[in-house]
Amino acid sequence: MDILHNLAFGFEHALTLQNLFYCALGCTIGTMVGLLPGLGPLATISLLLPLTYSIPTSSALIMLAGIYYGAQYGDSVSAITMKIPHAASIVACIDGYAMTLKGQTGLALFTAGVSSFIGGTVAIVVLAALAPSLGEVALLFGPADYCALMLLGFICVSVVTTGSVINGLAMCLIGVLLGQIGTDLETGTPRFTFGAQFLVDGVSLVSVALGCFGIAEITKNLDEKSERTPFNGKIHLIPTWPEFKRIWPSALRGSVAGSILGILPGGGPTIAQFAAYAIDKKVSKYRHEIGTGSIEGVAGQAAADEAAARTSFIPLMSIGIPENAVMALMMAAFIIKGIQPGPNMIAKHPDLFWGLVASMWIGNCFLLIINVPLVRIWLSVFKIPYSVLFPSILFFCCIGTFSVNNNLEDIYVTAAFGFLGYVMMRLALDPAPLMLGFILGPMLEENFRRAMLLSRGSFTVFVTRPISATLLGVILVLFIAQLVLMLRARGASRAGKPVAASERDTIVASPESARN
Amino acid sequence: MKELTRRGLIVASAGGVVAGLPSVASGQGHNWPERPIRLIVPYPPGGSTDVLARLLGERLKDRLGGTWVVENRPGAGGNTGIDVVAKSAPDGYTIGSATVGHFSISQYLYSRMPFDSDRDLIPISLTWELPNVAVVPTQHVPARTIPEFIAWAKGRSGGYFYGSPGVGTSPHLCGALFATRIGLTATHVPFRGAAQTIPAMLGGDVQLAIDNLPSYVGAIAAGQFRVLAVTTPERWPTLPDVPTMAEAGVPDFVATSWAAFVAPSATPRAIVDRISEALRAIAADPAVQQRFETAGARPLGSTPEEVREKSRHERPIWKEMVQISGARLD
Repeated sequence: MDILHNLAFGFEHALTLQNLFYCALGCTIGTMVGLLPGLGPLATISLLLPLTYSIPTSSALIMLAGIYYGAQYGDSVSAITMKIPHAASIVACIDGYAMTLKGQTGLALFTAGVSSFIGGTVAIVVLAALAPSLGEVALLFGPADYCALMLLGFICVSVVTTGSVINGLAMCLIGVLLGQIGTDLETGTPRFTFGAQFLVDGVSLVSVALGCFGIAEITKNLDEKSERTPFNGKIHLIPTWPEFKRIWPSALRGSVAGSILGILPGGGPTIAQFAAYAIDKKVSKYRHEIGTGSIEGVAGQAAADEAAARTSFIPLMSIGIPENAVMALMMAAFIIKGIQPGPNMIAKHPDLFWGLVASMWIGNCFLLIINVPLVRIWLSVFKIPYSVLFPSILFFCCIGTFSVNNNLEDIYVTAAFGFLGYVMMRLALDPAPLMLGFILGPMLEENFRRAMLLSRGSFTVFVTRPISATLLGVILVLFIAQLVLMLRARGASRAGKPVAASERDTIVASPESARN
Repeated sequence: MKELTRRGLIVASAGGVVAGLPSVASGQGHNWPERPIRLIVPYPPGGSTDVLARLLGERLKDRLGGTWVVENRPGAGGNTGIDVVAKSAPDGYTIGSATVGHFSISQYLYSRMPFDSDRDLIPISLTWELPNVAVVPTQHVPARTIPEFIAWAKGRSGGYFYGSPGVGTSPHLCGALFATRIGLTATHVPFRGAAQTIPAMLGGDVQLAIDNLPSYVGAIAAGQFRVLAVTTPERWPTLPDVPTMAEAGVPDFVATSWAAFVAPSATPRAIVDRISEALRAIAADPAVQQRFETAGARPLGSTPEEVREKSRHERPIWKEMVQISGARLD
């Protein structure tokens, strides 16, 4: 009852004409920003922060939040249509883009839109019901527990790999190595910087993702001997009932994964997308299609992304801890308005918190209204001749990379990764595991060393802490299960049924065949 | 010398005749600001330097006109952004928000610096200071005072852990100096900012931090942290019951995180003085003081010379701290 009362109170604040306007404005800006390759909510919010000085606090927050979660959906659009990812839509480049190559862009976008809506709704329920107490969950996780969580993440490597598992592992390790570039946190020693000042803080995720996916893909298309003709086929937008039935289970699974991971500092949407994808690949009824452009591969990711973006507000609002860069900026917005986020904030400013929660749901509806009809417009991107489209995409990629640190050298780094990505593509190496290694590697190292420091070098900390022990147990079970399956598959292939091999072949071949 | 001046005058007046008088004026800064001013913050958006610089940028716009655009240029512990300022055109359109690190610490941490704060920069005015506070998590550390903490820590085998937002930051250096002064073993645990340190402390893994107050204001208000001492020379206005380090029995321990706006060293003095005056007036404004107070800081204003003096005055203690901590960055 309390929740209903609070939500009613929140809607009272969110439904004023002014707040509705700022909510719609935020969602629209967010979607636009998400669509533009490489531009993220971080740069946008820091650019728009001065605008909020003159508007009331709750309206300002509603707008900034709208930009953040609006951008999550927009991200998926550019990943699906052009294979240009943002930090939180890397996975959408796998199945989403594969669907585009099959001519199912409309369906993929619709799936992403509906799944985002489902993800958002689930997360808002979590936020409303549990936020005041859930913030504490972030405190339960010590370095050893994060370490185990990251290890669990590495299990995903075999899942996000579409080609051979050995290649996937190799790419993952290259990602881990790339993550080592920069200053070592614990000693301050520069690693692999070769004396270059711009490498002192490492290479940014945006550079690696844009380079390995977007720029590599564009280069490959230019390289193609056969001219790629702009897409003119009939747009298949609204899914059939059987297709729709495939969206919601994945979206729900993604929402749950996203809601949980969103609460934990460090990962948020970036890690949630991989988790959702991995879960679907393990439990979905259509798991054999994932990787070749299936609805599930898009739905889970989009829902997780959206859910995590919203639950990442929980640590900020309930304990005053910003868990990622965007949340740090939101915190700055509070402080500029003279409000100090902390454990007392919900009690002291209930109108802000509940108004924000209610506005998120309104924003959710806005996004659905804005985006589903706009799918047709996004699709018209393909009517632009490639001689115009490609340079403009590259142009936006440059702006996007530049906007992260306002640093010109970052553009060169992105270009270098574009080249690397192209080479990898030609060698049929998969960039997704590289991204996973790049994201998880540094976090694993940092938390492992911190755990060792705090336990004074004793490994027992990993089994004595309940969370880490449980997670490590799960890893062990998964590992054994995988091993048993592999042995069984080998047994089966000896008996004349090369299951695994044939499956792989179809996966590698299908995007190619779909294009021709 | 005379010759030069005269020629300079002739050139200047000729330019004035040709282009119409304003060019002489703008050279002296009378027409400044004619275009947007970049206020470079050498840290990512959202940190306390960013927030406070933005607050000042707003007030400067009101007093001096023009558009003040905050530009975040993070990297290399804040050196990248200030290096950009040092190498910008000295026309009064690039201002940087530097901190004590750029003036008095970095030269001892880095084997080579991209700029020399005395040679390449002219300080405009002090802008704010914030104390480092020695905080302990209430749930895990029973101590209420520094002597109690020392007694409590002595009873722990292997000493205690202190957190910081990274090697060479003022919380790291303060933590190292503190352990040396009280003669106890302590292990440094670097994090990527207070947003990581706070959960680790609330979880009981880390027992002490001598960190910038702003990040802890909310958690202190909620009773999650207890403040044992402040590192300012006098007590801090919003924490009247908290003793200074000297009062708590740790002498020679004054280390505040202060900040100052800087410009490229050849910037016309007239412009520097105008901004400096405006900053002094802003710092005296009670509304600004109140806003800074909520954020855990205190606005300051000064002349350029006072900044130079402060930075020289503080170098010995920071040098000592860097040596004690053993921090080394490249």
